[in-house]
Formats: sequence, C-alpha cells, structure tokens
Amino acid sequence: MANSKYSKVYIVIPAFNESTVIAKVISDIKNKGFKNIIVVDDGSNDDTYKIAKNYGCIVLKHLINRGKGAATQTGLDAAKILGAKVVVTMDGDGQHDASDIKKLVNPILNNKCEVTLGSRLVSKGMPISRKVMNVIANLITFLFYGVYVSDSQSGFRAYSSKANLYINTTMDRYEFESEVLAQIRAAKLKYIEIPINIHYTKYSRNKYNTVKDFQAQNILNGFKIVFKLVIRSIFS
Amino acid sequence: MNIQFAPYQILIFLLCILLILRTFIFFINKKKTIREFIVSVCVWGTIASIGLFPNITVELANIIGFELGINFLLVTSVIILFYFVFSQMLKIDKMENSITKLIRQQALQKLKNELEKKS
Repeated sequence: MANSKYSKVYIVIPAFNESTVIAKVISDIKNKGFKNIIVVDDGSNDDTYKIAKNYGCIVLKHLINRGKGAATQTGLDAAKILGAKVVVTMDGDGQHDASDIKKLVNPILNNKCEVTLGSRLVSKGMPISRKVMNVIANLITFLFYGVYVSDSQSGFRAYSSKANLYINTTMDRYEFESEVLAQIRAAKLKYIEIPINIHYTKYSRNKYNTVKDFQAQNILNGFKIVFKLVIRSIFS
Repeated sequence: MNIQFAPYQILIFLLCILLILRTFIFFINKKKTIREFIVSVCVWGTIASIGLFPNITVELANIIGFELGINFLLVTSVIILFYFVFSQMLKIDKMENSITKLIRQQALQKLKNELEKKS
C-alpha cells in the first residue's frame, strides 16, 4: 500500500468520547487500504486517545473539548504538516462507510476537482426529522454563505492539498461545515457532490442527543446557530 | 419656582451620585480609563436627570414622535440592553476563539516536536 496512489491520502477523524466505536472505525478504514489515519481526540475523558494510539494512528489531543469544527481543523492542519496530497474528513461515531473513501478521493487524484462533498440525502435510513433539519441547514448555509449543496452538514469530505491550504475555519462547532463551504466558494475551488452511505446506529443516534456538540442537530440549537450567525454578520 | 421631589427621585439621584463617585475613585486609582469614566458619568448622569425631571422624557418623546415619555424610555432601554448583550456575546465568542487557537496550537506543536524527534 505504501507505494500505491493512496499513500499520500490522510484520513482525519475528530473524536470525542468514542472509545466504544473508534477501534472499529479505524479497522474499517485500514481494511480499505488507508494507513494514514489522524485521530484528533477532542478532550475526551474516556480511552479514545489510548485506543487510537494502540491502533497505530497519528493521534493529536485537545486538552479540553473545543468542538467538532475545531478538532477537524486541527486534523487538517496536521495533514498539511505531514504532507498529505488528499485529506478525507469523516466522523468518529461510525456513521460513515469506509468503503466510500475511494469514491471521494478518486475524483481529486484524477484532477477532476479540488473538493468532494459526501451527500447523505440519497442514502436510506436517515430519519425524517434529520432530513428536514438538513434542508433548513442547507437554506441557512445558502442565505449566509451563498452556497447551495444537497448536504451542507455532511462531515464526510475530501480536500486536495491545494484546497487544504485555503481551509482555515474559526467556527468551533456545528457551523464549521457551512463555513468550509463558504471558504471553498471564496477560493473558487471546484467541488463535486458524491452520494455516500450512512449508518445511523443506535449509538450514533443516541450521541446526537447527548453530546453538546451534536445537540446542534436539534431545533433549539439550530436557532442558536442562526442567531449567532446573524450577530456575527452584523457586529463582526 | 418651587420644585419638590418625591422620595424615590431623591433616592435615584443619590444612588447615581454614589455610582459616579465610585467610578471616579476607580479612575483616580487608575482602575478605569478616562473614556470609561466619561461614559459612566454620561449614563448615570442621564439616569439621575431623568429621575429628577421625568418631563425630559416627554419632551424627547415629542421630538422623536412617541406619544408617551415612558414609551421612549422603554424603547431606548431595550435598544441599549440589546446592544450590551450582543457586544458581550461577541466578546465571549472572541474569547472562545482564542482558547480554541491555543488548544489547537498546543496539539499541533506536540506533533511537530514528535516529527522533529524522529527526523
């Protein structure tokens, strides 16, 4: 694998208290032939760091929890330092399918685009409430950032090294995904959307309801995010 | 002209004077800047004036177009409070960003150190 066309592909996984699933996520990625895995432990208070280290990943640790956006940006920066040609970001809760990585990476390696965005909307199993939330999030992203994509909140994306140079986000939490789209647009990077599979397990669904960062998926936090974006756009 | 003040008006006035004095002491002790002192005098001075002469609000309300002085007072207060809340939110946001930057830098520095060691 070391000499294959994927040898300079790095997978970034932001992880917060994922000790129960992180081992499987890493194994799945490795089984698909990707050895460069960067896990960013976002201030977990379980064994996420230890497990990722034992599985031979490059593990970075945030001393305190700063959110999925911050952890992903740390991972992207680490990939820059390590000389990645393509960086893939995916969630640490196992909802993304490692067999989709190649689908995201190949268009970039074949110089068809600079960024590929995984789109969950075509996949089965997404709860209706999540679909509605996604549509609202897409509209908000369009309203504030002028970019309309079918799944603005998908964390499963791939960036070329050139694209990675332009991505430098400041939003720590759920708003991060939209901010990235704004930066892609500002840098005029070519992107394509790729349908991806999604596995909504009991674990991942439960996590949405318990972890502060992912609570952003509920309506009240959606309002908070919109409010924050309005305030930022007025006063910043 | 015989002006009589109700007890609550005198109370408001005294409270404002106390707060201005307090800010003045902070200013003398260099705990507050001249700008902060002036802002404080303006804010508490205005409240004291309105407390002593509530008719000021009626006149201001007439100039701006409100029917009642109290409406003017309420709307102005809400606007000022909103402004303070928003500016505080921005400050917190900035602080959060700084914390994140530090945390991220620390994590990346560790990686750089590890890579240096290896090479």
